This record gives sequence, structure tokens and C-alpha cells, in this order.
Amino acid sequence: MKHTSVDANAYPAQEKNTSKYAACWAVIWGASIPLGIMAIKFIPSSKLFIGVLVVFIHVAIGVLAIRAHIRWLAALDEMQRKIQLEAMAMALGALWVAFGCLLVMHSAELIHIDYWEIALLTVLAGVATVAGNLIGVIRHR
Amino acid sequence: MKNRLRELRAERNWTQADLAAELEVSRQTVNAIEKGKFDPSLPLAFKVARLFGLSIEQIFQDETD
Repeated sequence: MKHTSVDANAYPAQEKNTSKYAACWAVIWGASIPLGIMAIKFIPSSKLFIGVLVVFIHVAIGVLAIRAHIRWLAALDEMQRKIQLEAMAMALGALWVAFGCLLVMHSAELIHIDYWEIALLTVLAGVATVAGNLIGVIRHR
Repeated sequence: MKNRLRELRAERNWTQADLAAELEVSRQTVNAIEKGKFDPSLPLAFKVARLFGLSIEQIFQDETD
């Protein structure tokens, strides 16, 4: 006896769609920072005007990226959601620790932080999320 | 928490993917529940019970019992 009333691909397809959507917005959000900085440097116009415009665009994209991620989490089943939330917690923790360490070392004049190093924190968040995902998947395998 | 999910699924000749589709979860989640690596929420446990026409207690057993 096999139930045929359900579409076996419904859940994976939904997950794939929302994942793609969230990943696209994350990439656009990340790209908006270097593009915005380049715009401020190279567009021969008022730095204040371009700066405010870049911040506005970055915040607007950020809001859309957050919404896409919330929709993505809502589309996951409960175990996948648990894995992703734990991975996000790891990324947040790694960010706080790294940011705190950088600030302390900068204050102690052991290192000098410029904005490119701050931007690398987003890479750290990505790496921590991937590591958290792997740990979650292995633990529930 | 122990459960009889694998046994009940095998009785019906369902694959993990079939069961996952019925429960609207991923195949990995079905696998983790069967192996006792993940305990389902109460709504999902009710869904499993309804699908097999049994009570939750007939499918899931607390290991401290």
C-alpha cells in the first residue's frame, strides 16, 4: 500500500526555492558594501549624498534579505530549522568573539583595524555558518 | 526516545522518501527520527500517529519507561 496523494518533491522543491531566494539576497546584501564604498570613492559627486544613498540602499536590501531568510527558515522542516538556528547561533557567537578580540587588540595598539578587516567579519560569519551546518548534519545523521 | 517508525514503514513497504513526503518533512528528518537522533515535536508526532492510525504512545516510547 502506497499513498499517492502527496507530491514527493513538494517539500524539497519548496526548500530549494526559498534557499535560492535567501542566498541571492545574502549575496546582493554582501555586494552592496564594497559596491557602495567604490561608489563613494569613484563617483565625482557629493560624498554626503552618495554616502546617504548607499546607506539607504544597503538598509533596504538588508530588510529584504532578512525577510527572505525568515521565509526560508519557515519553509524548513523542524529538524532542518534546528540545525540552521544552531549554525546561526554559532555564527553570531563567532562574530561577537572576533569583534571583541579585534576591539581589545586595537585598543591595546597591538593591531590597527581598517574597514576591510571589519568586512572580513562577514566571511567569518559565513564560515561559522557552514561549520555549524556540517556539525548539525553529522550529529543528526 | 525509542520509536517504531522504521518497523511501521517497512510493514507498508514505504521508503524514507515516501514517509517524508507524507509528513511534509525531509528524508533526512525521517532518517534522524528513526535512528533516535532527533525527537519530533508534538504536532509532528500527532501527524505520524494519524498517518499510521495509532496513538503516539504506540509509536514513541520514552526510554526512561
